[in-house]
Amino acid sequence: MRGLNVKISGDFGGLNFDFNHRFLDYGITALFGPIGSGKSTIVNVIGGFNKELNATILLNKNTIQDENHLSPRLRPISIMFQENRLIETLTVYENLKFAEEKSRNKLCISQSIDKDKIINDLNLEEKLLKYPKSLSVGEKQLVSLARTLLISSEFIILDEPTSSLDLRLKKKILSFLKNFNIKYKKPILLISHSIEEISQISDEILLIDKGKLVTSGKVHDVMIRKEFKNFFGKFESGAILEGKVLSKETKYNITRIKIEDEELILPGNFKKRGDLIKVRVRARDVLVSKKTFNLNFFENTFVGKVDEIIAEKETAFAEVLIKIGKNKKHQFLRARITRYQLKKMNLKISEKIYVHIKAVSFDRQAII
Amino acid sequence: MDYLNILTAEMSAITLTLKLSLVTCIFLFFIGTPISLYLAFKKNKIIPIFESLVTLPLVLPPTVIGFYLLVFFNPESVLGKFFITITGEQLAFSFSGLVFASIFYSLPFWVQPLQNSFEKIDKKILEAGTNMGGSRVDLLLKIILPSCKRGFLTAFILSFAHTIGEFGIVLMVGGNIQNKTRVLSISIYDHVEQLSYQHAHFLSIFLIFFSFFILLLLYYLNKKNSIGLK
Repeated sequence: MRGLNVKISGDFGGLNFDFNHRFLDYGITALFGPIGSGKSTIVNVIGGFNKELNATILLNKNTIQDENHLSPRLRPISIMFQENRLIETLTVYENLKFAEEKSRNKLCISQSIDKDKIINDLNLEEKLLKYPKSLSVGEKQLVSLARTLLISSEFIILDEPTSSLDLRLKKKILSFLKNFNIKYKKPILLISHSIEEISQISDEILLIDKGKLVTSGKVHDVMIRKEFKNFFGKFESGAILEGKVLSKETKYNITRIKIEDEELILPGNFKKRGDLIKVRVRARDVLVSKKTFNLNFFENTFVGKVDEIIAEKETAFAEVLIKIGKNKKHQFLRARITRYQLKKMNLKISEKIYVHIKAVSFDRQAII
Repeated sequence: MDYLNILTAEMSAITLTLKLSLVTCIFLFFIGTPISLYLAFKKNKIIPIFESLVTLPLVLPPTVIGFYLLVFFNPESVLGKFFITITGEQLAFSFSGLVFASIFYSLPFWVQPLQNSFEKIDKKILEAGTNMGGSRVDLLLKIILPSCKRGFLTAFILSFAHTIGEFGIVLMVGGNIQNKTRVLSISIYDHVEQLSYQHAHFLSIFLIFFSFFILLLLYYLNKKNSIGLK
């Protein structure tokens, strides 16, 4: 049984923990939950820094913790903590070297990591001789990330690795992480408060609340389910569509992608022909109608079926979940309309419905 | 010309005092540092007992410590016997005895600033160091000791200055033997007793200035963050 198996129970910090999960032994798993839901405590338990909670931890068939407690320094797990935790008395280069050299003591089989490439990819060449004190918060975070990746280990935990980075850099680092994950085939546990970030690179999401594992599954499957809507409540509701890049038109600078049997036009130039692409569609950008318009007149039109209607009694709004595509392989869209409109349209479950999405509503952040 | 004579006459007391302070600090580095580490990083119920023991010399009259040290230094006692067998010299009324007493007496001045300094280290950084595979020795050498340079400096200056200033315990344990145990403070006492006020003035003023400059150095370095001392 490869992969990381974690079982945690007991009380700590006012939370009653009940966490039992077998992590993917490849890819990126995201841990998502409100502030104070126990995410960082779980990280500390896996790392061996929390002795109050009962835990059983297995990694690639080796028991790391049951009644016995493998010393934190020998655990083949690398952790990027929320705070950067750089060693202030060492230069950036010495920090990286410390991680690389000292982690050789860890009990693991791990291929060596191309240090120069990481330094290069994270743009740290010119920072190597500096002390952490003279770096900006964002730079410190990059050093901390590089340091974590250089630890020889079999499992990587990143606790909010991009929280101090600007949007452009964040995007770059996320695709760097994805590539790193594919190249070294080392599973990553990503803790993040950003559902955009999670949907962009994760293969699986775990929802956690008050120390308890609520659910786990594929990101867009979990996101679309109404029972977990509260979790994502503070984010704009929406859905993620998956498709393939069909073609590009340089004259108009648009990218055509195929989603199920329909075509979606994105403003801008994204990915390569044939590449898989994910697009986040905000619920408020989705227009629904019962009648057929001239389909050539509207861009980005889908035909779907009403799957679920949620009226928010205390507000003016309602959300309609729409299933698009054939029955076997379908995707979901979410539309946000007023309750007044809902009543006027008299929508019913399983009713056929037309969906329109304005192409200009996709900004660069929407492309995953 | 007069002062030069006094200086020559008192040179042995001055060098003996500085030598005693320096040797005491060297021993304190090896004895006091592990104690500070233990007190700063181990959290258990007996820590307050240790802390009280280490601080005890700060509150007790030097005569109490001096009296018991003399009892322990007695050639008939276990410690006294042991010392004679390995060095052939007795502890009481010797330079070694003075060093022994000074280590004990100045211990709180070494341990307290260093313990404070160790306690200020972010435990989370040590956890990160452990996660990277660093052993305790690695953490000590790469993180803890380098980030406590200022603590060491404070400990050194305070212990050094405090050893220079001790009197009661030195008088009891060491007596007043030229070139062996006659340090500055004893010498001043002696001169006052013999009414040679000129000597007493000279040495006292020397001590006042010396101590002032040592403390000035300490506070100056403590204010100055930019020199990289912590």
